[in-house]
Amino acid sequence: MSWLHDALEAIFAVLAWPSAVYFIVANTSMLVLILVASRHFARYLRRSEHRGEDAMAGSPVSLGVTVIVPAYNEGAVILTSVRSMLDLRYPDHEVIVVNDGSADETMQLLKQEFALVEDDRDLPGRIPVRGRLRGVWRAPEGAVPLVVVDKENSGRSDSVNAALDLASKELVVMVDADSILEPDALLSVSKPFADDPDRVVATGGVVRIVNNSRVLGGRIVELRMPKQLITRIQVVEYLRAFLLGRTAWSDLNALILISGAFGMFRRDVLVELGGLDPDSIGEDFELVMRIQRWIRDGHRDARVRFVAEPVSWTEAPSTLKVLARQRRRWHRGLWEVLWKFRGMLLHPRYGRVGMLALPYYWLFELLAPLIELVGIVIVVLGLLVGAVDPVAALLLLLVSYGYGTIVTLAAVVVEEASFHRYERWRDLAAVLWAVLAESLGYRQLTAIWRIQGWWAALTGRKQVWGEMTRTGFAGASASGSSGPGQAERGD
Amino acid sequence: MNPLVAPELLWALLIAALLVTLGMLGTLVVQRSSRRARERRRRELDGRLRRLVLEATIADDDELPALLDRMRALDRGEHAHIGRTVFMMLQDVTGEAADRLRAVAAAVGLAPLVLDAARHRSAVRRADAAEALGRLAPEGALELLLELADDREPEVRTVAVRALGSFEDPIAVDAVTRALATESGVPSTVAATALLQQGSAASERVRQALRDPDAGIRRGAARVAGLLQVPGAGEELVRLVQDEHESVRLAAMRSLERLPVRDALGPLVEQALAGGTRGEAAARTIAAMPSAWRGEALRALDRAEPGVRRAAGLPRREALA
Repeated sequence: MSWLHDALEAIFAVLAWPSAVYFIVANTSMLVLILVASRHFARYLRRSEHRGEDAMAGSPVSLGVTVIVPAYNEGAVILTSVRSMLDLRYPDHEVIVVNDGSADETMQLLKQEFALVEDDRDLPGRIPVRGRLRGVWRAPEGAVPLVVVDKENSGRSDSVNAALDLASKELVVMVDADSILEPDALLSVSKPFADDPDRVVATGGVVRIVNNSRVLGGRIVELRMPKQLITRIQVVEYLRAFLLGRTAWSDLNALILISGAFGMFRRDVLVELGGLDPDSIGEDFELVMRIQRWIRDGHRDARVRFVAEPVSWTEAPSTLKVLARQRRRWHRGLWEVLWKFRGMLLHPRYGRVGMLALPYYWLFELLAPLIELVGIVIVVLGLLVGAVDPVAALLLLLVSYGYGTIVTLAAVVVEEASFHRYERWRDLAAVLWAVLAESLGYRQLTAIWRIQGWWAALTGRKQVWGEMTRTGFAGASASGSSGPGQAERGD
Repeated sequence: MNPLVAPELLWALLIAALLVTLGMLGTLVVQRSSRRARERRRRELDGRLRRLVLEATIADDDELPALLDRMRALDRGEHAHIGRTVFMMLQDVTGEAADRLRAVAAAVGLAPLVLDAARHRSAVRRADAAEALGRLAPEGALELLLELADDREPEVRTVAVRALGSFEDPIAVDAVTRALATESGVPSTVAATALLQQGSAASERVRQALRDPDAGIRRGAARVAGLLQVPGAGEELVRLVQDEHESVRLAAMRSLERLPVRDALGPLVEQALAGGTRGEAAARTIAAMPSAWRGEALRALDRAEPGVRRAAGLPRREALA
């Protein structure tokens, strides 16, 4: 085996420093994003006395919002969800629910609860919709208009497009049926549009994890850390990547990803762009990339913003099987979108999006699992054939993961200094344990799943969606033993 | 054996990482402990002082001076807490209760602090002061707010314009109307909401603003004219339905939903047949007109695009498959 020994030694000689530099740059980039986000939070929180959201809440001149809720087999949560959407604090909003050919009682429940009557008005047909419409219904009563579209199953994106076609307000917000919006979420996420109506075309709100929290009537009454370790680790991931990462990218005017579970857009822009791409797996990412390209190609003075305060709460996967499916799908979507928009990469016309955000996503999001796994395999092989000093290898791993852990810890410190959502000491301890545990197997597992998703895309394998089950929010707490569907749409 | 990187360097990095980790953990514990201590103190003060503030809002006139004296005798920390409480309560309270709260604010010395902060070099402090001036309305507040409405920072101007909504003085109305201008740096919705708050005091100025050369001012005025039911604005709104700026046309159409004018139907049908967002807005306005007027206009929309027909509430031409 001396040839293997020699080969591995040669590989080490070539790759050792580049890999070390890669890890350092990747973690330092994240640290810089966290610092940018913390500066943003400091500015944001200092202005809490005079943000004026209450004035806007009662103002009839606020821009109208259409809340779009695609629903597939959401019988367990649909009524609670729709009621909570209707009760959102906002002066002018309507709710459009799209029943995407559910096999359960979703449609019947809606008809009964809201005494729906057939809406025989004309259909605009501005956006092509693939799924055949069975009917459009509306609630005859209620302060907030409710429209329900019943159609054959054609997927989430197509369902959103069906609702978008019927939307009548200036702004549209897409929300998953199994998500819980905070009462003031619409006010906060629409504020950038009110502050800068001529330039802001899209905003994203932060998505957090609701598992194990107490939920009553579609509202969170007690926030708690999830019970399962893998869900706790996801809390930390969401905090680092979604809250802090996206805040920073927004601050740098290079935000390219808004969560499909909670994104608000100018309706005229979406109609002009033809709505969501029903063939895209990462449809939310694809849409924001299209918007960014539309902005730059048209030399438009427009912005995509992220708002850290409004929160959409969602159930995260609590089993390895479901998590694996989610991560495969996310990474597949990431690859497909990055590849589709490869022409924007390092193209000066696309400004910070092309020169900063896209290179980051290619290097530190798409390639990260590959580099990490190759590194681990080589180190393990090197240890087995004695091509590498075990103490040095262990130290290198400790330093690499240690730096990653410090970066994540920095995210927790920023959260504690800003929004500090988890108030109990035991929750803080759970967060800290999750920070540590993330590097002890979880990262490596997710790296494998992400590679699998990428490989499936490269080999053209069909995406398997899996069965969806719901625990629902109507009970005392969201236990988090949900199926893949809503978890996969968590972002 | 390949050591990859000198083990001495790795040990040093590892120890550094451990120290940084410990530092961060310490920071977390200190942050949380101090925040909890602050919250405890706030709850304790709230338990004692909120009741006193509430008593002042409902006390008889002859009981009020004694209550205010009790508050004056409190220490600085307690004054600050009362100030915060009053500030928050003024958000939801109007009329006599609001006047009482303002008297409480004066008793604990809040007004001089706010007046000082209005000239602070920090824009955040000036914006906070503008917000407080609007709620507390101490003597001299209007003059200061007018100054702040012309501040060099758009953030301060925005808060000042919003605060001016509580003043019905013609100078305040004029300042708010000017803030509707395209280049004012103040969000149009903020200025329009302030005009609505000024109510009938703003009516005449809004009517004049419908003819302003600035499209932003015309748009804002058109938006609020219907909501304020401005006398004599109907004819101006009909004219604005064909304004050169789309946003002005849309605002005028929305206002006509609340302030229907029969003469508007012709221009509205024309806009509706043009289709798009403008067409849908026009169709909605036509549908909101009194039923005795709108019959012919709705028949004319029979040849409009489906989105416009939907906005007008017209039935589908074909049943769903």
